[in-house]
Amino acid sequence: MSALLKRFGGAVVVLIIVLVLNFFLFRIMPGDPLTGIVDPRFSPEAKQELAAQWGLDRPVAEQFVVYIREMLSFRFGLSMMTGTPVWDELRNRVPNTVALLLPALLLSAALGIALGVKAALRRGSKVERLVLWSGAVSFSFPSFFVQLLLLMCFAWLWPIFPLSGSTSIPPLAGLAGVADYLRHLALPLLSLVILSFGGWALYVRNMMVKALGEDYVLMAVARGLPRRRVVWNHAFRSILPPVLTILLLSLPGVVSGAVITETVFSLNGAGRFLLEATNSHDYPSAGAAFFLLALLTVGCNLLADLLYVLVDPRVRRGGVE
Amino acid sequence: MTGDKTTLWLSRLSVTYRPRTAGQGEVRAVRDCSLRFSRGEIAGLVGESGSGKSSVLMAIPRLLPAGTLISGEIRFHEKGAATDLVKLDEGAINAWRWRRIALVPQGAMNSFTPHLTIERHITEVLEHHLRMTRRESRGHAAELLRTVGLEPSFLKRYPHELSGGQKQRAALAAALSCDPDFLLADEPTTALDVITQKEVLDVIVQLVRARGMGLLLVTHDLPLAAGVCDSLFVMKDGLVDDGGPVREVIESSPKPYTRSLIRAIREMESVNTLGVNTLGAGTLSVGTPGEAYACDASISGREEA
Repeated sequence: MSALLKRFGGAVVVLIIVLVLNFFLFRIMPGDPLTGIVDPRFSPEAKQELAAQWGLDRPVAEQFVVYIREMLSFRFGLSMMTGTPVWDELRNRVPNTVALLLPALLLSAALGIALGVKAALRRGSKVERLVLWSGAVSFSFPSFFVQLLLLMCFAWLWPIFPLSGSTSIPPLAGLAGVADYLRHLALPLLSLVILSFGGWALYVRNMMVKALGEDYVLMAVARGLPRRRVVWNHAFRSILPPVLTILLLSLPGVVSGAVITETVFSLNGAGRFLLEATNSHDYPSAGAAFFLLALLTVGCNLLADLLYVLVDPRVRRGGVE
Repeated sequence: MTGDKTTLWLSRLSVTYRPRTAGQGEVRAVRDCSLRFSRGEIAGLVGESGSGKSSVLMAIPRLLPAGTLISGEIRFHEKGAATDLVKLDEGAINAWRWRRIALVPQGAMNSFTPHLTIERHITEVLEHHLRMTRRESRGHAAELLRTVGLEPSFLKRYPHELSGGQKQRAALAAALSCDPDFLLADEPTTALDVITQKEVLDVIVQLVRARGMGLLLVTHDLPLAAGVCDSLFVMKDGLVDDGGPVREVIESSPKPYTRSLIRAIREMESVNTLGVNTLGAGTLSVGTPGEAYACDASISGREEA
């Protein structure tokens, strides 16, 4: 329990550091919102007025206090790019990102686990070599390359999928709209699964090879249990703690990866929002986006620790008393 | 001697390990091994490390690594009919495993799955082999623990919460769960301290006798085997070099290897009685089995060092 409290304290410290760094990093970056967002032909007076409106004419210390207050209260303020509340932008874009990343994560983990287990069970077979080979390829390709290749093949040479965007313009209504949305999601989703199942397959295969060699798996076989039971309830269940940990710890990385994916496919998601906000020095938007990403990272870390305790009795209930 | 008793009959059994990677040599661990033992009988299979005794034991329920070659026959005789376990496919052998032939693992093995309670290990096989409901199997599991001298409260424990001796008792309870005809025990008491070794072995022998099961006890420890077995087989370099009723083997074997083993042990026993060994031989050596345990302690103690 005290260990968990310690973790929690650590998480709070990390968040504070991220908050402080976010404030200063965006302001150290070359350029400022007035050059990044505002039309260069604006008169100096108009620029002054905007700076006052955005609070940029205030002392840095005062800006910092306002920033911290906005972040901790989750109000986030108005976007400099659009003049609308940052929350409206997020509400608009986060669902698109979740719709892409959650299925991508689950599908690639499921596919990777299935292939990894299969490879571990058939050591020395063609199946294993195929899994290892495809896993290594999947693991080592840069994401934009695979994505551009997919776009070239399936949206341009053989145009069965749209080239860009989250929906057709103008958006379709009703069921046709849903189908249209899914059609736009297909290639990005496919690309993410192709890119990330390999890591899972290699990782799960290695852990399963080790688990299948354990004494207790041999004993489960000796008990005459069906093969499925031995493989899943005894061997795979014993590697579940690290698998869950990796699943949770990979989540923030996957979200960061969305920046590239959403940019390549021109999806209207949170990843591209983060990129646009940073490029245009939209302090409130970028601050909010990075703060939420940090929250997600720290939250996943905590959850991973908590889950580990729940699924591993050796951690949950110490050693021999 | 067999009559219509249920008997395991190994006939010209050979085991050849084949390495996964080509190019490395095959290892023929067991060569033309023949032995048999019946329900109600305790057979000892002794030999040095690497003599092939564990390979024989693991070959019976077909637990050798995939790709290992087994030739010869492992016949399960009952009521005038015989089944050759070597010829069964993977699905068919599963019905024999545990239900008819159960295993008491080595004391040093991680024989329990770390994330499952002791209870789940037992209820799982009861539900699978005997088609018990969860509730029935739980009651049965508690009963089994009591027979091996463990409180039912151990059911809710995880493997890491048991000591070595408790773990072996629980492993025995699990092995008895489907009331098999034969128990195969591979060094069931190594890695335990001397007193716990004796306790665990006593429980095994007592329960095997009470239930009229057959036990194949594989051990490197001749005195220990001599103390509890009805018949004894001595293995050397993959061959069964000697075998017969335990008294004949110990007292009048013509085989040089068996005789040299016995001579070595006699010398150690005399060392024990001189009080050089400090492991408490004096207090334990009441009868022959007692001396056997004391002797065993010095041997296993040396192996661990």
